[in-house]
Amino acid sequence: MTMRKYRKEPFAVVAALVLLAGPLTAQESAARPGEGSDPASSFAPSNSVVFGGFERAGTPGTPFALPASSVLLSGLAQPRVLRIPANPPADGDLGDEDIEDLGDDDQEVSQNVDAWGVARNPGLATTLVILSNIAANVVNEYVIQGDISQINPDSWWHNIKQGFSWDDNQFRTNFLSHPFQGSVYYNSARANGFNYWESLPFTALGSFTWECCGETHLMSINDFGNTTLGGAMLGEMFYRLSSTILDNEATGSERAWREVGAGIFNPGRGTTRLITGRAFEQGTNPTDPLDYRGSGVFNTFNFGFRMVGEGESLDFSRDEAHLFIEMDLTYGNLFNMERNKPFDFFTLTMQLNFRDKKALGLIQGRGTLHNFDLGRSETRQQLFSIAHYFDFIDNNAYEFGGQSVGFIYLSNWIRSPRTRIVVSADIHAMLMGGINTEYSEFAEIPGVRERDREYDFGSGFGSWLQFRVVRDGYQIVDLDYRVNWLHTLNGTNVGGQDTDHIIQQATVRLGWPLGTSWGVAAEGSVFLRNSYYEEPEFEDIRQRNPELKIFGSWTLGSRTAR
Amino acid sequence: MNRTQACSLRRTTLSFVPLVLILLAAGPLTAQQGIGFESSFGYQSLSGEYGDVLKGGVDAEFAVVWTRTRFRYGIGIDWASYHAEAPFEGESWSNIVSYFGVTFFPWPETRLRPFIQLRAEGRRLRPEGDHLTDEEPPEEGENTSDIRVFGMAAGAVAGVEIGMTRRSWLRLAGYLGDINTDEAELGDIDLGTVDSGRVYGFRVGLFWIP
Repeated sequence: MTMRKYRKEPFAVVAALVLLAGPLTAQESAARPGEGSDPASSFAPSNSVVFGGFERAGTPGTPFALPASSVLLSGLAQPRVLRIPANPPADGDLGDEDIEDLGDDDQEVSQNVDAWGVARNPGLATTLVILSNIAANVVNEYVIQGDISQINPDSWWHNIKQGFSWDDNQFRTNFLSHPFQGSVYYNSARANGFNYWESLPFTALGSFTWECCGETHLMSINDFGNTTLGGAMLGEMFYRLSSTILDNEATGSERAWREVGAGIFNPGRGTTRLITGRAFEQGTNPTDPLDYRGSGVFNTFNFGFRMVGEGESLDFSRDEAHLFIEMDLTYGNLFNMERNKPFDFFTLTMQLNFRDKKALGLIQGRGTLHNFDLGRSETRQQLFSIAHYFDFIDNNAYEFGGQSVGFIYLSNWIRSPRTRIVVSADIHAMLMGGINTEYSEFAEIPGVRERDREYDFGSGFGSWLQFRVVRDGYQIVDLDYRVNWLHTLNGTNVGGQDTDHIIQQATVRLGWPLGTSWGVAAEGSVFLRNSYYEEPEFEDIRQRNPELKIFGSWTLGSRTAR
Repeated sequence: MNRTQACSLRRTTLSFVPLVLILLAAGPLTAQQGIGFESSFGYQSLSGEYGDVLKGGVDAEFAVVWTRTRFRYGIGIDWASYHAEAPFEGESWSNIVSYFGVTFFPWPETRLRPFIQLRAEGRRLRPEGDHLTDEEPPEEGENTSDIRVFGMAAGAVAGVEIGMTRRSWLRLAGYLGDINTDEAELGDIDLGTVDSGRVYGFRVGLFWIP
């Protein structure tokens, strides 16, 4: 009897918790006026607030940063760190003489510890990476009872001898579960004192050890790529968002809830804080807001109806409209960056679809790795950024996802105090991508969630053009076009060596703000795929799926406060 | 034992004496408390009914432990590769044991500290499924990959930990445990029914406090 390969998703439960936790976190952060950021994946005006005061500002003896309105607008290029006295006046009014200016020096993070005061601990980071693999294996073996989890030293050696291959797991497993798994590895290192770049090798280590030793399935090169690259992307975003929850100065139940919340969001970090005891210790918080509450976490929820055409065009008698909820999260203030570290700015969009094949239908993110200032004036800023991309789109009509690195030109043109125009253009390399195909072996296995692949793996290049008009912090016009060429590295049936896909997505959105937090919008988009097969027995394929959305928007906090 | 063998054994034993004395003379250590990790590699052999159909193999173990005074409590997992006897010698069986263990250190603050551990074990024993799909099943019979058995049992470990640094210790241990599982019906492949046995082996590893 031969057993068919299939894989379960041991991280699915945790992923669901993360998704549930997302809006709460954003609310906690975004509700703070003065922590402005960009609306709906757009970019902030130059006169927006760079960063706000800490939530616990004013705690005696605690370093804090004054709100930008009182510091940055007064002309300081860099925020100053001030310490209020241990016994402040009873009326709470502090004079200049009461405040000790620690200058910029205290903001210099020691070479030996990170902004949270955590020293590098490679042993614990490695142990937690291995431990997370063991935990996933135990879930596979004892809870899901999959047929790929009977690992032992023989299977480890066997897999290493066999080397890498390509696997046949579901699109969702490869392009969502594995990146989430990678984020746990990443944060096992990130929470142990390592920065973004230093955490990458640990992510790769976790991915490799899972592939060789976490399951009996042969090692998959696609898993290794998606876990490592996607893990770093999601991992750093989870790290930043968990930093907006944690508070080393908090005590009692507030502290407990913050630790639990951050741990759900970021299991690697939560575990580290538990093991090292930092979850229970009172201390100081990072002095730089970018390491703590962020320089603006901005969250908009879109909710309404969407209709996806199963054919070439929308047919209102055949296609049904269903509810959707979308979260647009923007972290950081791209055009007013005080520093230049990876993911000081990122955007994250997640969409929940009702009555689609899966509820979670879309996750897309972009995080800047490095920015180059091309020039700025009172009314215009221009940037060149190197960015990391994450794409996961999985709905009834199509599947598209991957890990990319791109080069973006960005321009922010302030036309009036209420209106600005944001333009971006990029080219990006999709290092590990996936796209649905027709020529695949569908194999629905009763009782088994996995089935043979119905998508191709590939690499290629793409370009993304965006034009946005923003009024009162709300996108009133959004023209969006993206094209990707994906050369199949491993495809079904024919191996894929002679297959190319051209994927295009075009979007037009028109909206209008209602007050400071609400808005309405309509969006039309079309997905196009042209697949070219050199093998004569396969006809070229053209897929076209239009989509229409009508929705309301609600922004946590006030858009005009930014 | 002849005279030559006796001399060889005596020389080997005596060569360890200076090492032991040096370690003991290094003075007491402060017993490390709190969370730590144990990991080890070793080899297991089987006897009893399972020993008749399976041969032992390499084993690996990982545990998260918490030390308090002379006791250490931990949960761990152990993976071992067993190999079927002919005609299934190409087939590898996975033995996964999860356990809760209590370890007692009579002299926790010495650099060379003996210990004894008792374990409550849950065992899952089954052939690898996915792994074997890349290989042809034996001509004489069917692949046994649809067999999986579970069981609870007790085990004991005895050994020593040798302090290397303030936070890391080398572990040398011997292991003895029971196998009591559901009945594994191997009649279809002429190997009868098995449900019990004994496992014994040794391990070398590390104990580390982060």
